[in-house]
Amino acid sequence: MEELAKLEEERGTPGYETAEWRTNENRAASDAMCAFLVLNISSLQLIPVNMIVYRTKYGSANPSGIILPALIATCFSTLAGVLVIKFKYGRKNRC
Amino acid sequence: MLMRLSAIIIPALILYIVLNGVLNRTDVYDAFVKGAMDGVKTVVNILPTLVGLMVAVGVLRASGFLSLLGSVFEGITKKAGIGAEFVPLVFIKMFSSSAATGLVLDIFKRYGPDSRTGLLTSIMMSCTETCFYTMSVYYMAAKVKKTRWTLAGAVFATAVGILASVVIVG
Repeated sequence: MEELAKLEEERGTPGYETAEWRTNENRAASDAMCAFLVLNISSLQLIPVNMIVYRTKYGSANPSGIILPALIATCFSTLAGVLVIKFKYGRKNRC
Repeated sequence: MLMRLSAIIIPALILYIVLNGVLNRTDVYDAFVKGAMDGVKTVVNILPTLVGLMVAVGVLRASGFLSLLGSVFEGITKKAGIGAEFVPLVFIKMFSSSAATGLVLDIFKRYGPDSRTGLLTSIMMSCTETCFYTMSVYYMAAKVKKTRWTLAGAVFATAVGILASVVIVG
């Protein structure tokens, strides 16, 4: 994650509504846009509040018991997203 | 405890924002109106995409395609001891969060939240994002037509999350 943060710093933050998002001429996503969305969609979620509430409503014995397993699963999906980004960036120019 | 915390968190956040504005001598109401206006503009921009997606999800559900999908994968889910509803849920979760929530509640009602299927559903829902929805909202706003490797990367990350959920539930 730290490496990725550094990488984003060097290339400028691919945040929503920055100049890069607005002044896109050829209508193709830049690498930074792809990286941003992949990371966004892999979504690191710390506490899945919604699911805990639904579990409580339907009479779970331990509604918040999913916090740790969900955290582990979300770490894996985010890690996979980071790996994809590293792979895509690494092929063009090593950083 | 956690429930109480989650009930308090949103009012606390709003109070914090208003207080912070007042302490910095900002015209809070003026800033709110300006921000809300930007929000409305964004909604109008993405509305066509949203309507299209919602109709598509509605068609998939009403036509029985989802239950067909469930029955196609029935052999695998039966062997793994998972309810057949889990497979359609995985696909719907990529398009619409509210449609997915409806399916989750169905699963909880039928199998119970602490069953194998219930646990798997809870964990899977907590580690994936509405992939197509998120992509279309951002790329519509930025008027991007070619999404390049976004979809492949996002689907890969989602698949790893689902796989991890299955492995963790065991």
